[in-house]
Amino acid sequence: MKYVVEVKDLTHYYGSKLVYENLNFKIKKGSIFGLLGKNGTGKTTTINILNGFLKPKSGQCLILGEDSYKLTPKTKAQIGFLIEGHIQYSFMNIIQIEKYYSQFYPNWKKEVYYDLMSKLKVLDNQKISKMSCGQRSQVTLGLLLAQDPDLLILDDYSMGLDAGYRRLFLDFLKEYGKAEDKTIFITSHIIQDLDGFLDDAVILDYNGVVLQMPIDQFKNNFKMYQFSTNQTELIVKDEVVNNFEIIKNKATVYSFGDVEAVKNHISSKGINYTDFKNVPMDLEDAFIGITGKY
Amino acid sequence: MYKALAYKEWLKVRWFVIGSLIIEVMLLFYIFGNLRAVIEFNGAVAIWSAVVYKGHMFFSILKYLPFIIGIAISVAQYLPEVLDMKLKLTLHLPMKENRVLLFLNLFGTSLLLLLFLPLVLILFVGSSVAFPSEIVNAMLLTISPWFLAGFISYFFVSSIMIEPAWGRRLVLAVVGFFLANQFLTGVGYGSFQKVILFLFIITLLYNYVHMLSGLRFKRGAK
Repeated sequence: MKYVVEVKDLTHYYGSKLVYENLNFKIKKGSIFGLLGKNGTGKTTTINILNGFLKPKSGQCLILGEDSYKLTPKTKAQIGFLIEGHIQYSFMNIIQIEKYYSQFYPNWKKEVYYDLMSKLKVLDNQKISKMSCGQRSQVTLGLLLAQDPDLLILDDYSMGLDAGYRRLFLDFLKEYGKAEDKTIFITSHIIQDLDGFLDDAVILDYNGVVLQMPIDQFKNNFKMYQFSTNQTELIVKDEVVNNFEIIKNKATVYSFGDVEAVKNHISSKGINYTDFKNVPMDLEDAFIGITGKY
Repeated sequence: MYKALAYKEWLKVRWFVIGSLIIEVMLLFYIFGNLRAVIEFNGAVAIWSAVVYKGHMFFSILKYLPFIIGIAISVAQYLPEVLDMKLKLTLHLPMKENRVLLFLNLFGTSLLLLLFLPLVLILFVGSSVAFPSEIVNAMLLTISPWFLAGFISYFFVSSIMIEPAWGRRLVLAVVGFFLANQFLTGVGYGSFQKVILFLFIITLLYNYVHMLSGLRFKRGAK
């Protein structure tokens, strides 16, 4: 199977509020796919649809070839699911929770879980509710890796984690994904952590999909240009200018066009400019560039 | 897999079960202690007379116990599932969702049976020593709706907790409270004698509401 996830013309509303319309994307086997967007743009909604916890208004979502709303137990066993905030049964301790989950998954890797737990400074009888968010994230990660799923669906793994635990989480995931040819679907609102981690991404905005392309292509082709001008009112979004910001007489323009294309474009609009420069961006800059700060 | 599910459910409810058992034992000691004291001081005739002519219920302290235990077991079982939407973890397990929900329900119902049956049995045996079978049978008929109210309270509190829509929760709460109240309104011995079968059927049917709420949760209904 080439694609592990296929989302076709997905449309969803909450009441009369449109979340997105005709969302389409496919996730290749063995790839790391990011669903990026600000809070409230529909990331968790998509995760809920992917896991069969929400019926979309229209469209289809196939997971490992099955309709996500009617997943069979066999397919569910192949999907590892992280709920936003590293939610787990907080009344259990690390021994009890391993004993519990191990009964459900035929390929359960106990040693992977306990290897990770041995690095945590927690007592065997310490309940998950008494752990820090970082420690809890390691427990959920250990459980996911022990399950050995073909597809990992991770809803905002970064929530509540400090930089160290976020890095640790991604390092383990990357190693796991590469070594085992696993597919990872991840959402996050902390974009900078995902720089160098993702293969492919969809960026959501409040109006739906802003962009979908391989992440390297996005980083290489999406540019930020800054220049000074007194004619800032003439700068508008169009086929060349994807987004822009104005602070006093300093303009910042985001575009997929190269330097010459953008220069020619703004000149053709009658804008006189000085100090034109191409400013290097990381993934987070590019994300803000395409979605805006608000 | 079901064994693992039972293990998780037991971890959640064990202290509530133990607490319920302790309360049951204390109340049984209270009931039979009182009964013995009255018989010793006033003679058996006095208590028989009070039961037959005044409708005295020496076991009336048990009236709301099943109702409260039903709520307690339901809260213990389902509150940890609905806080932070942990029920999603349970429904994501590699099992059919309706079977998981049914199992959770059967687990709670079985626990209530295990908590209620010995209590009724001890009450039956203990009462049989002091009273004729007519009074003991009337007592069993009288307490039956109270214990059915325990199941009803378990079912409706579970439904309220799993139900994702606040409007429906309110309806479930009102209907559930009204229904449980009906089970507990009997004023004399065997008040519900003619409708006990009907109450039993209502209790079984109400169980299905819990399943519907669970499947609505799965569907992401709002």
